Amino acid sequence: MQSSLQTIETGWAPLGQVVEGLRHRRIGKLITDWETTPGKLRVSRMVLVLGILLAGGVALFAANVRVETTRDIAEHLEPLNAHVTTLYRSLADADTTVAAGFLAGRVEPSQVRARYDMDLDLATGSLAQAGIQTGPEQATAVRITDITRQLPIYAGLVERARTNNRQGLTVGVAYLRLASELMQHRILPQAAELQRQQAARLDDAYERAQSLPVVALVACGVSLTGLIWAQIFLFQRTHRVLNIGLVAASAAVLSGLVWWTAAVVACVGPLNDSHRHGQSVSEALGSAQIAALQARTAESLGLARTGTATELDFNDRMQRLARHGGALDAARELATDQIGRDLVQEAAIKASSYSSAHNKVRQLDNNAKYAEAVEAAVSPGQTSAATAFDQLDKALIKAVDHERGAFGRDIQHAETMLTGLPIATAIFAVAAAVGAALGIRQRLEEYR
Amino acid sequence: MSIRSALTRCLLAAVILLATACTQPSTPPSPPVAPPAQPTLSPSSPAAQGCNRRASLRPRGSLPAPGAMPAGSAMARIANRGYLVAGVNQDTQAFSFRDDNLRLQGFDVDIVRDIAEAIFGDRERVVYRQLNIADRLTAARSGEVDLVVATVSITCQRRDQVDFSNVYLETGQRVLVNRGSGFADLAGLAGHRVCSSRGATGWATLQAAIPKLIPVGVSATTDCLALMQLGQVDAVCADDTTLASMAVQDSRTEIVGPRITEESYGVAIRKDTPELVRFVNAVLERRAADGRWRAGYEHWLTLLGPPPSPPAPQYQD
Repeated sequence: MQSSLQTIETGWAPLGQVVEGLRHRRIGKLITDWETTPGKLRVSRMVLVLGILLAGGVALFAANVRVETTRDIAEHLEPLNAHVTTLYRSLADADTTVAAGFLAGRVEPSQVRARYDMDLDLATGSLAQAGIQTGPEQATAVRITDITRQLPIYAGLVERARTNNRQGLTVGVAYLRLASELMQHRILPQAAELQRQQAARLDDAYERAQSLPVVALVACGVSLTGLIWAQIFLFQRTHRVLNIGLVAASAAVLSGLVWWTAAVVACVGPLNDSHRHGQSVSEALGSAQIAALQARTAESLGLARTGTATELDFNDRMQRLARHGGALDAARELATDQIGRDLVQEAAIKASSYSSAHNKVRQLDNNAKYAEAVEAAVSPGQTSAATAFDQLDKALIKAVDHERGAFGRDIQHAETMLTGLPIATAIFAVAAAVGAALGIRQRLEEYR
Repeated sequence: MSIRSALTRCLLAAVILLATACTQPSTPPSPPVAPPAQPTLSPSSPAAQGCNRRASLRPRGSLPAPGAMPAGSAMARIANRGYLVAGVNQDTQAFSFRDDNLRLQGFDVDIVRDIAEAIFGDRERVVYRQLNIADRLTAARSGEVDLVVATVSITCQRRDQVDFSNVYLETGQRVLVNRGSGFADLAGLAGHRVCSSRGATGWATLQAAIPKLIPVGVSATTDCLALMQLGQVDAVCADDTTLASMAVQDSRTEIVGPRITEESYGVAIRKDTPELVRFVNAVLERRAADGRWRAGYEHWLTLLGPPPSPPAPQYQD
């Protein structure tokens, strides 16, 4: 046992000595070569070729990161952001719809029922999609799981509320309150947090996609400096002005630099625009939608008188929506085209009609005309608050759809701009390396 | 707030019961079927302070004709406004709740309508504010409403904040449990979850005084029934009139134990309008005399048994 180990060790020893010897000889040769011009050329060739290939590799990696980030925004982060925005909006809408439905009487109008069903459908759909696209982030997964767990409980409470309400039992309203409390204090805050996280991740990705390509620029710069140095060196030694190979290599590096610059510059516009569309949907128009829903809930609760200070709530929400510098103003500023601005303007007009319709409801209620007030609030008639709210809601959805469509086009545009970047980087790097090798080889041959 | 004092009394009673159970372990257990109404364990307010919580302000003369309120009075201001603003409970079956046509109905709402009729000659000139249990006195004090008819128990402490009308209903706190649950009274619920209305000072006292009883607070008493149906609480502690309105909605529940407190409901009115208190008392006297009180009781509160005679008015001047 002991002897066989020794045999192995001694068996390996000569091989190590051979490698060491070879390495020493190689390095020694390079050092002795450096004394002569051809030697200098050989060393420079090696350093240049390896350097250019290394720089090319680094630039290629940077190009891939950029393409991946943009694709991640288009295919992963923005859709996920859209899903969590839809999730929040449809959950809030479900709650608002049920509260308004209770005002209408013992039996919910069929359109109220249909809207609630659609909301739950949208919510569960976007929840499932968000779950699929979430990937490995623990915090997000935990929130999605909790919402998934609470949503059936909420739906169960709503059904109990309906069943009891149909039979004229006041415990139905108690179930409605419990359901609403669960939604407002447990489910919606989680959905809001999801939304906040996703928006932050999206902003991060945009920052990365739009950052100055420092790595690629440095790689190009270093390669170019090396090539210029080689040409000056050759000029000093051989007094020949042009070396086709080195010039071609420099041209390749320059082309790479130009391509990079062009791609990055071309991306700035579309990326910026797509970011604005995304922000408009999740922040400005999204907030406007939520504020409108909350105002409508406050209106319903005000008539049902299940809480205090609902009129203040209503005014507060409509202010958030429509005041100077509010959500709609933000959406108007973020809009990148006239159609977008027009759609926001349309929503602003609908918001003011809704406010007027609401004032009529309040006026009736304050003059002890409760039945008429409820009628004005929930009937599907032309001048009712229900119709005005529907129109506001539809106008906001239209604006959101426009921004979403524009986002898709812009991010695709940006992706197209980056399409050739990795392959071009690779080709230019190889071309530059080959050019440098051939150019110096040509001079070397003159020494034979 | 009835709940504040009521809860205090709930807990007081429980303490007494628990203490009795501890000091007299050989005492035979209380009968399995609780007698409907036993002598109350504690008076609703400290009589030692010389305060008669039931004594209100005597009406001056007869009621003025509708539409002819004395100039400068609170009633004249209400008449000029065109409607009465009344605070009522939220969704309390039998006291104030919406019927199939969304009209508010109930024992309390009938009183509001009678007051509106006396002022306007029109029973519908009312704007209702449905109040959380904890907000009832605040609403009366702030002038947000003209008066509050919302199962408010009169106590001497509350008399410092608002004026009260005559007593319009005598009741007391009991316990609602699921049938077959085996709970016989509040003391038997130690270690279990008991639901009551939140927002009253008695609420904190309950938590502190009976750590063994797990209190669950809600903003509207009816929510307690939902929680019990969901299995989240084991019992509801409230006035038996309110409990009866819950039991009628769910035949799987029953009211058990003796009345552990004595509650007297009155109309709460802000302190600076004694003329309105006298006016309301005149309306209450009239509806007691002409049989409307009895008719209302028979219509809404039959569950509590045959109607007693209306509470006799007591006046301090």
